[in-house]
Amino acid sequence: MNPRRTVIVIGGSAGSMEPLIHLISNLEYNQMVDVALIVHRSNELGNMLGQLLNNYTVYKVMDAEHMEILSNGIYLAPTDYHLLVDENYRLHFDFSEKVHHSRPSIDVTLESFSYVFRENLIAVILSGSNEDGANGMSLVEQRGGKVFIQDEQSAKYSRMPLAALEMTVNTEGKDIKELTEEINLILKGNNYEAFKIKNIIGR
Amino acid sequence: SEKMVFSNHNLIHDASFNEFHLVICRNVLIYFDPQLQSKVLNLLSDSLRNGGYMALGKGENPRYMGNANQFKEVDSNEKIYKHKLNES
Repeated sequence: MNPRRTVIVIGGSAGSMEPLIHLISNLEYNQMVDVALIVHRSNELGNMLGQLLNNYTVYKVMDAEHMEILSNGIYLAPTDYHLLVDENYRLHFDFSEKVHHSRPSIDVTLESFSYVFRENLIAVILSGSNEDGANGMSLVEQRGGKVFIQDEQSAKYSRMPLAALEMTVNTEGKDIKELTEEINLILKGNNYEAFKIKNIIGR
Repeated sequence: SEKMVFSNHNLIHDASFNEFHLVICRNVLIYFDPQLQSKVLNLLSDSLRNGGYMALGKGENPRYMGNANQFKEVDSNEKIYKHKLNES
C-alpha cells in the first residue's frame, strides 16, 4: 500500500543499552526499513558501539557518514555531530551548538527526520537522564509519525521518557517487549489500528 | 605573536595565497554542497606544499567529496591527510 520506506529513529541516553539491544535484536528484518540510532555516548568508549551492536541484529549496523544515503541498515549517529537527513535520504552532519547539552541531539534528528518522512517515521525514546528528544517527539506526532516511549517503571533513568510523555498525546510508556512487538506489527503492515482498539476493549 | 598573521579569506571566491605545511579546516565542508566541497578541497590542495598536511573535522572524509586521489590518509579517526605528489 505504501511504497515509501519506513524510517525508524531510536534515541537513548544513560541506561539505554539494554532496551536498545532488545529492540534491535528482535526487530524483524524488512528491506524497506532504515534505522537511525542516536545514543549519547562519550568519545573514547563510543567508538566500539557500532561493532558491538552489529552482533545483535540481522540489520547491518554502521557508523553514519556525512553524505551517506540511507539504505536498509542501522546508522549510528557520530559522537559530537548532529545528524540530519534530506529528501534524498542523504545523511548530513552538523556541528552547531549542543541541544539539551547533547550533540548528537535526538531533538535535532527528530526535527529533521519528521520534516522529511512525516507519517513514514517511527520514533522511539528509551532511558536517559536529560530531556533531549521530548520536543522532537512532539513534532513527530504533529507530522503524522508514530511515537513509542519506554515506560518509567522499566527505564533505568526515567527523565528522558517522562519528558517525552509530557510532550506527546495519546501515548503511554511501554515496556520494551511490548514496544518492540508493536513496531514489528507496523513493519509487517498488519492492521495497527485494529490492534490498538483490540487492546483498549480488552479483546 | 609578531610571527602570526590574521586575515580574512573567502573559501569560495579567493584563490590560493601560499603553500603551507599544514592547513586545518574543520567542520566547514559539511555545510557545503558536493560541488563546492570539491572546489574547496582543490583550493586546499593548491595551498599545500608537496607532502603538506591537511586536517579536516572528524566527520569529514574527502572520499565522499570526489577528491580522494589528491590526498593520502594519515589518521582516519582524526581525519588528517597528506598531500600527494602528482605522479605524471
